Amino acid sequence: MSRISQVRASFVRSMRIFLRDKAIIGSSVLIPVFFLIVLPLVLFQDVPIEFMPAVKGFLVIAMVTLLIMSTAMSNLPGSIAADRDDDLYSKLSSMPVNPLYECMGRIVTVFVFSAIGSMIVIALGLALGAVLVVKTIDLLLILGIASVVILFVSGLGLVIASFVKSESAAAHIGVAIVLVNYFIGIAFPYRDLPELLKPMVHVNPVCIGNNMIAVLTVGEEFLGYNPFNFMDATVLLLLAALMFTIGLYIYSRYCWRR
Amino acid sequence: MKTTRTVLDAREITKSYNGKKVLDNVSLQIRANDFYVLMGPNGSGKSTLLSILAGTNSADSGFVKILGNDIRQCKLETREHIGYVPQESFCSDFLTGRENLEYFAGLLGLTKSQAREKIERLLRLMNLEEEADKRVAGYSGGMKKKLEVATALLSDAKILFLDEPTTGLDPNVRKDFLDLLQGINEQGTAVLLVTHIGEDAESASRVGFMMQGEIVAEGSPEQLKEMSGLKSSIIVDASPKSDELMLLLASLGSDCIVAEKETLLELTCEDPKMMIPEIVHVLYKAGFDMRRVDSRPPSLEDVFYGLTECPVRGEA
Repeated sequence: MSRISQVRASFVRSMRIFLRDKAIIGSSVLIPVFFLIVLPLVLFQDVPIEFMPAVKGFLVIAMVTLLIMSTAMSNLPGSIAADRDDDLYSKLSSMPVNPLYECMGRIVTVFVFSAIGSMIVIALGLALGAVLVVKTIDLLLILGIASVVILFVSGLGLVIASFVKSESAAAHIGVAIVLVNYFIGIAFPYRDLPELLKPMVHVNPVCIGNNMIAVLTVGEEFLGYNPFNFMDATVLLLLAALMFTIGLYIYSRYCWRR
Repeated sequence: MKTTRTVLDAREITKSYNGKKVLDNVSLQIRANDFYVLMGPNGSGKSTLLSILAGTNSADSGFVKILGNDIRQCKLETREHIGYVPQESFCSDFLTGRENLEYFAGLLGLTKSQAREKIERLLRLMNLEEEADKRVAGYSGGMKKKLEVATALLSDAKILFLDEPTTGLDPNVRKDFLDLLQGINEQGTAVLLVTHIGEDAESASRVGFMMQGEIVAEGSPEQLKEMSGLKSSIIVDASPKSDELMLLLASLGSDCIVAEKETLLELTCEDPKMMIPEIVHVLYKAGFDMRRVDSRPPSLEDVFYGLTECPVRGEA
């Protein structure tokens, strides 16, 4: 009971902060929404009209991935760093609270906030003409892949939060990592990537997860390769599990002083 | 009848940072009815000691027992008896006062009805009922401190640790806050407050003076004042302020010393109470306009200075 209560308390608090902090809403949700509206007008003017629905569909998936990354790698560490600045962890350390349960509440927040943001981005994308063809049976698979990606980026976010002490530095380092990830394998379909970047996609769980969801929603032909192979799937699952475990361990060791 | 069982027993605590000893063999016992104030200048080690006693920092050697349980080895549940209020304001500005309390109640595993009942009681106790549903961002410093004390009382805290809670509060709010702590103490919760402000310690049951990682003197405020050998002084507010006035006061006795203290004059002598009628008589005769002549007992900041030769509001 106490475990669930601790996770729930931590979740409710973080969720309230995420929904009330304009900086978090702006950086996580409004930027993908802005890109979703503006990019087709600026970058895709030369794309033949019959390809636009698929291009926009791919853009929707990329924006959802961007949103998840921003939430987990920038806003999560930023909020943790802010709490550390306010001495919350000294207070928590004096209480009968398990760091892992407190942390799980924060991770659940990343899941729920990302889900809400993703629904907004997807709804807007569909309204703007994106086409996402999803079989009912694939929906669970997509949710599973997205969850694995969230675990990976949350682990990374926890590591950033544990080592970067100030709120703005934690958030900015997170944004830098988000942008690097975005441009090395998410912004463009695999087939359009320079040869130099292609191997990096296969060792980056965020790119693999993004590509898997893209294949399930806009098709393998558009992406230019099928990430549903043994190597990519193994990398995705192993690195996500590893990074999440490392994140949890480092968070409970360095953010909590006992 | 008040209980006098030992709530906190800390022995031979030492702590070093980068080879520099911050705490040197500090021992401290707090009983259930104690209102203990630990006074010391910045850097004297008092906040480090408090964090070790509250279980948020570890000592290099020594032990801390809360209700007989070693804080390093005991189960997590023993921490329910600790109410810790760190120096920084840890309640989220994005949440209301009530939501902040709900968060800490949830972490403690209170059921919804238990939490609601306790939160209402604490909001009443802290006089925060009207502000409970406003965001903490709009709270004053005093209200934030009260809210933080309320979070510390959500569990069955047997001892409250407060790290410089009155810093930045204006005198009236500080007095109000200290009265609140006094009330909590009278209801059976021991209080250990760390401060560098002498007024915070005046109503304590025990006071410890901390210097360079050691508790150098300990006792009730009265005992410490007696220990220091300091006597009351006489405060004179008369006009016109002139050298003549100072010379007149200094001439009242061979042991009289006159010093300017802001807009007032302070006279120290062997027997201040006996001296007051004489001062009034002499100043009246000399035609000075008197607004105030009364005795002032030595403050605990004076006593700290007297015993350690270091101002408590400075650096250690």
